[in-house]
Amino acid sequence: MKTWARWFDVEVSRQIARLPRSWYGALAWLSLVVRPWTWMAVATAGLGLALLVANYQMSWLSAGVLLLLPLSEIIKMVFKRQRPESIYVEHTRIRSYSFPSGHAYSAALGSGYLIVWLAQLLSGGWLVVAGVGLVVFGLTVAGSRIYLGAHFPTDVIAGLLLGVTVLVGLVATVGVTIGGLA
Amino acid sequence: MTSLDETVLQTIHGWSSPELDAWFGFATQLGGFEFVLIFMAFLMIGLIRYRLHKAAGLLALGVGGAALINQILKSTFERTRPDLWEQIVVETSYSFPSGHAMVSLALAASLVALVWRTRWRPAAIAAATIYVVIIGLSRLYLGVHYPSDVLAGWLFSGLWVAAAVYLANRLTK
Repeated sequence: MKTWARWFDVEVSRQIARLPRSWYGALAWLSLVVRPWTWMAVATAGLGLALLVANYQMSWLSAGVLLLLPLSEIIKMVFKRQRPESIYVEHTRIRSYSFPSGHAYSAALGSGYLIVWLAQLLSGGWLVVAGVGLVVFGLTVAGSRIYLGAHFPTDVIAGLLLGVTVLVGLVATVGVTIGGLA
Repeated sequence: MTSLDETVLQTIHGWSSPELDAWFGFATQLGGFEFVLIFMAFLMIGLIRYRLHKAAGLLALGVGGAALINQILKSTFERTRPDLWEQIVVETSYSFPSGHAMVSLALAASLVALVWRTRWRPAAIAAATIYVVIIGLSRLYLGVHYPSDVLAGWLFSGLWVAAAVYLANRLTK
C-alpha cells in the first residue's frame, strides 16, 4: 500500500508539475487567501446570518462546520507526515505536517457549506451553475497545493474525502431543508 | 507615508522595557481571531440562552465578516511587515490592514451596537475604546504592524460593522 501510494504521489506530482509555470503567481495567491482560517471566518459570518434570518438548521450546520474545521490539524498530529521538499515549503516556512491537506479539507467542507447555503436561496439552473462553480473552485484550491509543492497528491485526496464526509455527516445530522429561504 | 509610519514606530519602540514587552505580548493575544472566536462563542451561548438570537447573529456576522475581509485585503495589498528591530512575536502573514485591529474593533463595535439603546451605552463605548486602542498599540509596540495598517484596519472594520448593523436591521424587521 505504501509503495503504491508513493508511486501514485510521484507520478501525479510529476504530471501536475508539467502545468505552465505562469500559473504559479495566481495559484500561490489563491492558496494564500483561501486557507482554513478563511473558511472559519466564512462559517462565523454564515452562523451570524443564519441566526439573523432565524434559520436554525443552518445555524446548527454553521456551528458544526466551525467546530469541525480544525479536524485536519488534529489528524496531522497523528500521522506526522513530513511535507514534500519544495521551494514553496521552504519560502513560506510552513510548520505543520502534510497529511491530510488542511487547504483541501477546508475547501471541500467550506465549498460544500456554501452550496448548502445557496440551496436555501436558489433553485433550478442557477443553483446548478453556482454549485458547479463552487466545486471547481474547491478543486482548484485543493489542486493548487500539489502544483505549488505544498502537499503530496494523497494528502489532498484524503483532505477532499474527509471534507465531503464531514459535510455529508453534518447535513444528515442537522437535517437541512432545501429552499428554506427561497 | 512610510517615513511617518517608521517615525511613529521608532518613537513607540523608544518606550520599550522588559515589563512592557511582557504586558503587550499578553495583551495582543486578546485581539487575535483565535481569542476573539472563543470569547465570542461564550458570549453567543449566553445570548442564545436568553433567547437573544438576533444579538448573537449580529456579533457573529460582524466578527466573521471582518476576519474574512481582512484575509482578502491582506493578500491583495501584499505589504510586507515592518522589520525595524528584532521582534519578540513572529507573524507570517502580510501587514496591511492589521487583522488584530479589524477583529478587535469588529467585536467591540458589535457589542456597542447591541447595547446602543440601553443605559450601558457610555460604559460600553468607554470599554470598547480602551480595548481597541490597547490592541492597536500592542501591534505597534511589538513592531509587527505600521500605524497605517492599524488605522486602515479600524476604518475597514468600522465600515463593515456599520454595514452589518444595517443588514441585521433589514433582515430582522
